[in-house]
Amino acid sequence: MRIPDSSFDAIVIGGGHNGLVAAAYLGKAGRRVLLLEASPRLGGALATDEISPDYRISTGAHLLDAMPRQIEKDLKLAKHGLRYAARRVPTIALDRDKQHIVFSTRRSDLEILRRHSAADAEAYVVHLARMKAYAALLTPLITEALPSAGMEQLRATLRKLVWSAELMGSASLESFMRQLPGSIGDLLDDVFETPLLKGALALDTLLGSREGPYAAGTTLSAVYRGGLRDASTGPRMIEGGLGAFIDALAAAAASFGVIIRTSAAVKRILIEEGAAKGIETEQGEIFEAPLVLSSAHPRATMLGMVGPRHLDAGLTKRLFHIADSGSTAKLNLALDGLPTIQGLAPVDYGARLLVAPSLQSLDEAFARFKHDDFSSDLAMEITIPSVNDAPLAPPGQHVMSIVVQYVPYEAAGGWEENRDRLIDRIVETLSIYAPDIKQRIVAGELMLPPDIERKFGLPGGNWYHGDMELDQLLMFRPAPELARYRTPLKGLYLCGTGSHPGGGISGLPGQLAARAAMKDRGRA
Amino acid sequence: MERHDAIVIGGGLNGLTAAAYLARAGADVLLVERNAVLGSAAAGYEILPGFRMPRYELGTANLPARIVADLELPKYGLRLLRVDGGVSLLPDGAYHASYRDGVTHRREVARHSLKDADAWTHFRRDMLRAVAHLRATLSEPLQNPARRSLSTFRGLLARADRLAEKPTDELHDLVRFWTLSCADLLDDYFESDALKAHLAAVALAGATVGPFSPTSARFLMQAFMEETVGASGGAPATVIPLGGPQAIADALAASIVANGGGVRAEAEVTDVLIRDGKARGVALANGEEIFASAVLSDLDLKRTFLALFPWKELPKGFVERVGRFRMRGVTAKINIALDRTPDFEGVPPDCPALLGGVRLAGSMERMEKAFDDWRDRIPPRTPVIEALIPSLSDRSLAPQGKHVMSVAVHYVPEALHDGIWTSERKDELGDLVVAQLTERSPSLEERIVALETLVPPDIENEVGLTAGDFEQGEMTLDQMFFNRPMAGLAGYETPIENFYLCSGSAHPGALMPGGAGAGAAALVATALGKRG
Repeated sequence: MRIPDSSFDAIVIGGGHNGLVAAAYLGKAGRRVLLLEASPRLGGALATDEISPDYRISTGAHLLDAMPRQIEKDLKLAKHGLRYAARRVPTIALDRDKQHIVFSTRRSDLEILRRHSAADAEAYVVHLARMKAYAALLTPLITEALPSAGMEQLRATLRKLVWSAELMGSASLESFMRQLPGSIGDLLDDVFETPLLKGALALDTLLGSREGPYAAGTTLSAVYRGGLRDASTGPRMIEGGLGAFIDALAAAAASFGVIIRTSAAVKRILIEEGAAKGIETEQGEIFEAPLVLSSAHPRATMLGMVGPRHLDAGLTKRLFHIADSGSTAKLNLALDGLPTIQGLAPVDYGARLLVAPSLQSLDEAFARFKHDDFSSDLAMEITIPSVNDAPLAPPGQHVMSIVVQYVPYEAAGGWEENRDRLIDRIVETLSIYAPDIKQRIVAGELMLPPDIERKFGLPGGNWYHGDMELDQLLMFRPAPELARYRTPLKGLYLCGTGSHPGGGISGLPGQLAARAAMKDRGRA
Repeated sequence: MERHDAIVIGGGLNGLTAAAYLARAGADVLLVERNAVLGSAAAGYEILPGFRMPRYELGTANLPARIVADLELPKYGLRLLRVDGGVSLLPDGAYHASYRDGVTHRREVARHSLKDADAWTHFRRDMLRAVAHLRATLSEPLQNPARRSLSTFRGLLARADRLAEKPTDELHDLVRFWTLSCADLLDDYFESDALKAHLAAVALAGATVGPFSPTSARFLMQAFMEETVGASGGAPATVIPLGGPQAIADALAASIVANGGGVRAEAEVTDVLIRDGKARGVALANGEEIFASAVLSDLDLKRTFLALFPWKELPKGFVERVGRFRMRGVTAKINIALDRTPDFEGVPPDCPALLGGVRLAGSMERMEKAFDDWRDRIPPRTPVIEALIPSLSDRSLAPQGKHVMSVAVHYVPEALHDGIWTSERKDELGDLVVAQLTERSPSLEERIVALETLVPPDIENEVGLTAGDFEQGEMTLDQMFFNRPMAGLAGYETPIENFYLCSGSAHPGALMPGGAGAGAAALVATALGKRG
């Protein structure tokens, strides 16, 4: 069945933030674009929902952490309703003895760190500068499309890396070479002595990953994530939750003429003579376009919608190998008042709060996770969005959003048996810092990795469509043959978080994929 | 006054190799060893009269063919026996054997999974490709990227160019082999838990990582280091030196002496003699002083610099950096004499792979639990056990009809979180290992006529390996290549002029036995003006 108006310049599959960003850029460049989203709602893991009447919260991701300002400006998101509840969300490590550590180099914040350890306060400033210098080596690779596969370009990039490394100076280069392949835990043990500072800094780089703090390669991941974050201005909170961010993106896309259809799952991508020609929906509708961009998981796109018969065996194998099991749960709570977090200044309730008392507690949590269990000493990232954004809850009341690290996809003995035990553990751990939390809870919703998979369409419950580890970064993301948004099929592109530079809410894969597609099309 | 061109401190495999290369280059070299027996961890002993076995090592060897040939070790009495790769005993009475012959091996794999028999060919090909790359890297001189000179800079640019020439998918495989966990990589190839547990147990014997740790996949390559592409496509062979690893040490010593060098046992070095910041010789425990133009240490980094030097002679901050070098023991040794041939339930007694040893690992989960115990510094409850019965292939090791069984127990911590390795706790470990072996060999316990357990602190005390670390420093990426033994001090030179490190603490460490000795010898021979 073919319906009128079924022909477009480009079709974007998937209405998550990357799909919307790609569609908007294409639309802005004057292309006629159709965007298809399988579920009834846009946004994927970026959503604002009611967890109880009149309590609304970002049910999935809760902070905008890595989007460059340029994308916001290009797409005029402010004009389309994007408002920040907080432009700079500080990060605070919660202390059991009420001496909370703010991740900042402001004098007053360092003063508190000095109370834990004078040496650590000095070392912290040096450490931040050093991590920034390391990240600066990678930033150019992160915010731009990777150099093309041609040897000349790759050589130029590698040579540039050698040069910038040379410019770092021999002492810092030496520590860079030694530390990069190592673990973030060993690095932090080398630099600091305060257990809380080490635990929280490690959690900051491990959130969403399946590695423990002492796993080799975690320093590299930390540097990479730092580079990704440095490309933006750090975590921000959106007024109305991340659902409102999606609304603004959708409005921007629509203003550029993008046609958006929800509840329109793509059954297959139409291929003729090795080139994408359009798509067919589950309902049997056919839409044609010379450009098809998919923000779905690379495996779902290439094996599900394209099919292995169009791919060579090596690529099929690599797609199966993409490692993407989740490691976090999300607990959303409705509270009848602001809980008292002991020792936390009133202005800091709107911050991003980290619970990770030490590297040992993180490592223990990881050991449990590895064997399909969870720790009694949980590591968490907490926000109370209603502090910055009162309308999310009834007057005087609040919502709290908690990401719990190291929760396995499958629990030994099954989740049926363990779900309540996990909720109890989370609330118990929270009570250490906020003794009145239990009395405040009026409603709550726990999402385990399988729930995240089902609800947001993220395989394994992994946020990133594939772990952010070296073997799945840069020119290996999501697979060497697919690393530059292009696929072996002419006209088909990947534009989701599974593509370079990957996860965090950056919009960069969408932007860079749209650019790559238009560049090729312009040439053709 | 006794004077030589070079003195080598320590008669371990690397020290002997260094001395042998130097002697062949025409240098007047003297090797001094503290113990009465050469070989350090390779040393053998009699557990009972007539029962000879390696005291610390398992008894297999993976000496590079190049070193065997260069030093003409067969001429000096070394006989290497190549046997099949061994048998892993699996839960429920099952087993998996490794065969050198490709057809036999694939048939064996097919018993567990037909699909995996196909996958084996791919796995082997990819391993050999990765190993070829590693061997090429090891054959090049080590460059320290942080040392600022035009030539290293040029070298780095050239290396970047060469990397760019590689097809990206080959590069991807390379990155995966060096960064993934053993479990993740094996899952990509195989479906049979039996095969995966077997391969992981072979690869991670003696490693300080577990099968789920990132970077543990690279240990899978180690078994293929001495394999050649042309071989018949089976599993890598196990190499057993006749007479035990001690025989390698003896052949190396014979090679040194035959080329005009000297070997002196029971000569303990207490100090390196220094004048004007340069090494001039060594002082022995008996008060004797021996002088030389170059001094090489086969001791590990910590023992070398913390024990042989007055600290004030070392640069500021150096001692602290040496202190941070990570050395960790993971392996205990249990030596057993048996009055009859042991048998293993479910395994045909004439299975040729039994010559390559027997392994008890169970599953990767079980191995990981043992690794967790090691990290928590408790004796492993589910240790990975490797048992070699060298007397099956070398009848001279035990009286007629009797045997010696050499057992390596992995994931045994050198220090316990709640105290020391008392003799009771050592006995408990020995009992646990015997009990686990007996589960698969019911008559084993009654056949034991002697048993001795050595934990990492015993190994440290007897042969001087700090923390009982056989690899003389953890082989993690931050302590490998240009980071070994430490960043800015890669290779064999040290802050003390004329003083060199030739032990496993130096590059390439455990990647290539004897490699550090050969590398240091080449450098010293050039410095001495001898043909390198």
